[in-house]
Amino acid sequence: MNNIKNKFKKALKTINSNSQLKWGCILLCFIIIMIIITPFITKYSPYEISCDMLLPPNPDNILGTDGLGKDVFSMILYGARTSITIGLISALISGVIGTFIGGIAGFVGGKVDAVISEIINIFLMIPTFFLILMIVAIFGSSMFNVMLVLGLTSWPSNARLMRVEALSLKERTFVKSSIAIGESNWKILFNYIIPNGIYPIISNTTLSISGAILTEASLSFLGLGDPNIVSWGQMIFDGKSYMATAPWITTFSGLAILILVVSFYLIGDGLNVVLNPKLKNVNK
Amino acid sequence: MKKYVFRRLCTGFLAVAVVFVLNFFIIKAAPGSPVEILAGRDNPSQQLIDNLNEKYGFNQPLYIQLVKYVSNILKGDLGDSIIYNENILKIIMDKMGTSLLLTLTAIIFAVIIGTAAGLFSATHQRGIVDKVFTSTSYILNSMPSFWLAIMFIMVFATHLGWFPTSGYSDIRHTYTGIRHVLDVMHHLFLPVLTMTLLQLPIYFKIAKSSVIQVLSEDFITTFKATGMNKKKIYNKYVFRNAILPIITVFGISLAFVITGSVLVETVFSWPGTGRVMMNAIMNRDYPLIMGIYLILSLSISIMMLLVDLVYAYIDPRIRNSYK
Amino acid sequence: MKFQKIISCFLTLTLVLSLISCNDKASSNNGKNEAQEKGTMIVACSNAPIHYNRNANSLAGGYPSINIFSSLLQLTISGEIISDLAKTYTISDDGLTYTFNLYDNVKWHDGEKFTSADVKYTFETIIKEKGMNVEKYINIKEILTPDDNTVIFKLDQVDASLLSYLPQTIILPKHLYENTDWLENPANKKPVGTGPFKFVSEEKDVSIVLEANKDYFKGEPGLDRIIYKIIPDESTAVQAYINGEVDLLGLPAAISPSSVKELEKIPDTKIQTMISADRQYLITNLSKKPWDDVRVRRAVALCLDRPLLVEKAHKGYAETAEGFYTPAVSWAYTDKYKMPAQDIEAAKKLLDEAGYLPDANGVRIKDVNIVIFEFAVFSEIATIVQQNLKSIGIEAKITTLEAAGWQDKMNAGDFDIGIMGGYHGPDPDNMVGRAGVGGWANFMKYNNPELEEIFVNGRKETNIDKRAEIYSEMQRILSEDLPVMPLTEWCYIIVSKNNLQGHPVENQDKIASSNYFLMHYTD
Repeated sequence: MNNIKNKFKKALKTINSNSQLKWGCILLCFIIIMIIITPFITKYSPYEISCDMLLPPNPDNILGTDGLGKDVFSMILYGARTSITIGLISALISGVIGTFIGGIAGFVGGKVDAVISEIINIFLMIPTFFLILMIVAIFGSSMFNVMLVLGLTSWPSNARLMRVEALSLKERTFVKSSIAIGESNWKILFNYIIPNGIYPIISNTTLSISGAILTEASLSFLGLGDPNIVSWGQMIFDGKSYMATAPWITTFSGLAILILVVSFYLIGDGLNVVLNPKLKNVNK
Repeated sequence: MKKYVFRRLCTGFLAVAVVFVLNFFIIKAAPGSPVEILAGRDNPSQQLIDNLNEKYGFNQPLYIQLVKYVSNILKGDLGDSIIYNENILKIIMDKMGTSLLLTLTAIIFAVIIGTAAGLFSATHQRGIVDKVFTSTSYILNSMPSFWLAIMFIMVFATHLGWFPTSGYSDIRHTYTGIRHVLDVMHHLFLPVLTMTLLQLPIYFKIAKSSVIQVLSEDFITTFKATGMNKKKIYNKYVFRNAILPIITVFGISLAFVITGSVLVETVFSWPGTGRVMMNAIMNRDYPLIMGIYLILSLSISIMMLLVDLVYAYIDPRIRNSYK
Repeated sequence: MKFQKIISCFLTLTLVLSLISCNDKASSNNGKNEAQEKGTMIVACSNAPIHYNRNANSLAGGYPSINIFSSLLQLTISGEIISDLAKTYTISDDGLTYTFNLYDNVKWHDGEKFTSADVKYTFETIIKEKGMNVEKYINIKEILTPDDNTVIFKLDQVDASLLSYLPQTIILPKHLYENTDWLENPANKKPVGTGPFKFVSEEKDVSIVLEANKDYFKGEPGLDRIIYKIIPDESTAVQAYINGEVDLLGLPAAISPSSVKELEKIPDTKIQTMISADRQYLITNLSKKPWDDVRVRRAVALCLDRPLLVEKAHKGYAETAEGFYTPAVSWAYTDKYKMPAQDIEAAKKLLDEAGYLPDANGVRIKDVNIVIFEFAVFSEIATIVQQNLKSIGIEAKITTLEAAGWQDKMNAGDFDIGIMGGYHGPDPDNMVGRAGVGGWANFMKYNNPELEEIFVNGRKETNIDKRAEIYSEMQRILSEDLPVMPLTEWCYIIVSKNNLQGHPVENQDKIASSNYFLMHYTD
C-alpha cells in the first residue's frame, strides 16, 4: 500500500517538475472530468433533434443549436469521447506494431534489420494523407476503419525509435548476459529490450494521439467521417454552411479540438523531457 | 560516399515502385470506376459503359493493365485523364505552379520566422517572450488547418472585407502585368497566412530544441570558459550545428510541397494539385491518381535523397564514416 | 541579430504589398461596367464540365452548354415542351414518324449556316457512338432531311416518351465534327453552338467566359457576358456572393438549403424557389428480410415524419412529397394515391402483426443499414429517418459513401434501406429505371409483372389522356406495394441580386432551366 502511495507521490512530483507536463495533465484531467460528468450536466442527448434549429447560445442551449436542432453543448461533450477514443486506439495500434517491429529489427539485426529498415524508409516516403483518403473513401468511413487506417500508417516512426533503442540495448551487459545464459529471444525482447527502450515511444505515441485526432477531423471535414457518431470534425463540416449566421457551431467544435490536441501535445512534450535525462539539465 | 549514394538511390527507386504498385491495386479494389462516373448517376447507359470499358482496357485482367501502364510510363507517357480527357502531365503542370506558389511561399516564411523565433527562445529561455512564443506554438500546432482557414475567411474577408474570400484572381476584371501580380498576391495572402501559421510551430520547436541541444554540448561550455566572444560562439558554432535538423525537416517538407494542401486549397478554392487529387480520387480517375502519386513519390524520394546527401556532406562524421 | 533584420524586412514588404492590393477591392460591386451596356453576370458554378459535348457523357456539357447549344425542343421549368431549333413538329397517327420544321435563319457561332444535316448527323452519331440517351434513340431507324429546314425521324417502334428526351440532346455542328472522333475533337473544349451565348475562353477550374450571340435566332440576349466562376466549396460560394464577387447563386452553384439560411439576411437579395421534378425517396431492400413483408414496409412509411424533413433537412425550402410521381410533370401526376401521414401506433401494430415484437429495450429490428451517398441533404434526411425508425423500435445506422462507391454497394444489394433521389422527369417513363425490372435505379430488385405491363402500355399509347390513366395505375400499384417511399420534393433555390431580372424562375413556362437568354439588369 505504502509502495503504491510512494510511487504515486513520485509520479506527481515528476509531473510537477515540468511545466508542459503539468499543464497538459491539468487540461487532460479537466477534459476527463467533463467527460465523466457529461450525462449529468447535459439536458439533451446529442442525437436529439428536438430543439429549434440554429439558435444562438441561450440559457437552454448553452452553446446554441446546430442546423438540425441538436444541442451543441451536448455534442461537444459527447464528441470528446469519440475523439479521445479514436486518438488513443490509433496511437495504441501504431505504438504496439511499431514497438514490436522496431524491437525485432534492432534486436535481431542482420538481414532482418536491413529488410525492415527498408520497409520503414519506404513507408516514411509514402504521402500518407492521400493514402488514408483513398482507403477511407474506398472501404467506408466507419470509426473502426478510420482508427485502423490511422494506426497502420503511423507505426514507422515508432518502429524507428524502438529500433535505435534496441540496437543500443543489445550491447548492454545485462542483455548480453541473458543471451549467454540461454534465455529465449522472445523473452529477452519482451522482458528486457522493450520495457527499457519504450520511453521515447511513449512520448511519440502521445504526440501521435494528437495527430490522429487532427487527421480524423480532416477526414470528417472532407465528408468522410462516420455519420453515426458525434465527432467534432463532423460538426465543423456541418457548421461550415452556417458560418456567417451561426458561427458558434464551427467555432466551438474547433476550439474543442484545439484544447484536446494541445493537452496531448503538452503531455507528449513533457514526457519527452522527463523521460530523456539529457534535455533536463540545460542552463543558460 | 559513392556506396552510400548508390544505396540511397536503390531505396528511393524501390520505394517509388512499391508505392506505385500498392496504389494501383488499392484504387482498382475500390468500388466504382471512372467509366460509371462518366456514364452518370441518373440513368446510366449500359452500352456507353461497355463501350468505354473496352476503350480504356478495363476488361483485361489487372496485371496486364499494370504492365501496360508501367511500360507507358517508362516511355515517358503518363497517359490521359479519363475524366478530363487531357494529357495528365499537362494537367499536373498547369496546377503545380499555383500549388507551389502557395506552399513554397508558406514554407519559406515558416522556416525563416519559425527558426528565428526558435533561436530567440532558446537563448532567452524562461523569459516572457519564450513563454509567449512557446504557448502560441502549441496552440498553432493543435489547430485543424481548415478551421483556421474558415476563421480567417470569416474575420478578414467577410466581416472586415480586407481580403477576397477565395480564388486565385479577380474574375470581374481581368488584370495584366503588375496589377495582375498584385491581384494574385491579394488573393494569396490569407491562404499563405494560414499555411505559414500552421507550419511555424514545427520549425520553432526544432530550432529551439536543436539550439538547446547544441548549447548543452561540452565544447560550447569550453568556449565559454575560454572567454570567446558570445556572438562568435553563436554565429560560428551554435548556429551551424543547430541548423542540420532544420535543413532535414525543411527538405522533407519541400518534398511534400508539390501536393499542395488539400484542405486549405479546398476552403479557399485555390486551384492547385491538392484539389485535383481529391477530385481524381472521388471520380476514380485511375491514370490521374497514379500520375500524381508517381510524381509525388518521385519528388519525395529525390528530395529525401538530396537531404540525406546534404546532411552527410555537412556532417563530417557521416562523411568520414564511409571512407 | 542579423536574422531578425531579415525577418522584419520580409514582413514589412509583405504587409506593404498586400495593403496596396487592398485598395482595388471596392470597385467590384456592380455587374455593370462603363465599357459594356448590358452588363456581365457572374455565376457561381460548383464544378467545371470536363468538356462541352454533353451528348458524349454525363460529366460533359454542364450548365454552360445549355447557353451555348440548342436542341430541337426545349423543356421549360413548368414541364412544357416548347420549340427551340424546331419551330413546329408533327407526329404521325401511328406514332412512327416525327416531322420537325426547323427555323430558317439560324447560324452557328462560327458563321456557318445551321441546317437539317446537323440534326441528322447529331442523332446518327449518338446512336453509332452510344452516347447519352442512346436507348431512347435506338428506335430511330431512319433520319430523312428532304430540305435544309426539315428533319424526319422514322421509328420502328412506338415510344410516346421520345419527345420529352429530345431537349436533353444538343445539336452539334456537323462541319466541325464530321469524320472526327467525337471524344477527341477540339470543338469539345472550344464549343461552337447555336445558343444565345458564345464560348469565349476557359481557365481550367477557374472560370468560363461566354459572350452574347448577337445573331441568336430568337433575339439578342439581355446580357453582354456571362462568367461562370468555379467555386467547389459551398460556403466559399456563399461568401463570394455576400462579398459581391458573384451575382447569381443558381443551379450551377449547387448550394444546399442550409446555406440559404445565411443568405436570407443579406440586403438587396432575392431568394426565389421553383419546383422541380427531382424527388427524394426511400427504398427498402426487397431481397432481404424483413423488407420483403409489405406490412413492415408500410410500418416504415407510417413512422416517417416527412414535414419534419422539409423543415429541418430542407430548411423549409422543399415540399412534402405526397403522391407517387412528381407533381412537376403535372399531366401524369395524380393525388389519389398518397403516402400515409405519420402514425406511430399504427406502425407499431403492423410490426406486431408481422411478428416483430419489441424486446426488453423496445427494439424490434436491429442492425439495419441505411446507405446514402454523400450529399448534404441526404445526411440530414438520414439522421431524421434514423430517429423516426427508432421510435418504432428499429435500430439503424447510417453508412455514407461517395458517389462512385455508392453505386456499387447498392447494385450489390448491400443495404437495408437506401435514401436517394433524382430527376423523375421528363416523362413518367423515367420510372422504368427506378421501379422496373433491370432498371438502373432498381436496387431494391422490385419485380411486379403488373407494373411491367403498365410501362409497356405507357410507351405505346400516344394519346396523352389515356397515358395519364395508365400512369395513374402505376401510382396506385406503387402506393400499395411501397417499393419506393417518396419523402420530399426538391425545390431549386435561386439567390440573386434584386436588380438582376429574367431568370428562368421568373419565366417558368417560357424557358428551360439555367438558360440565361432572358436575363438582364434593371438599373
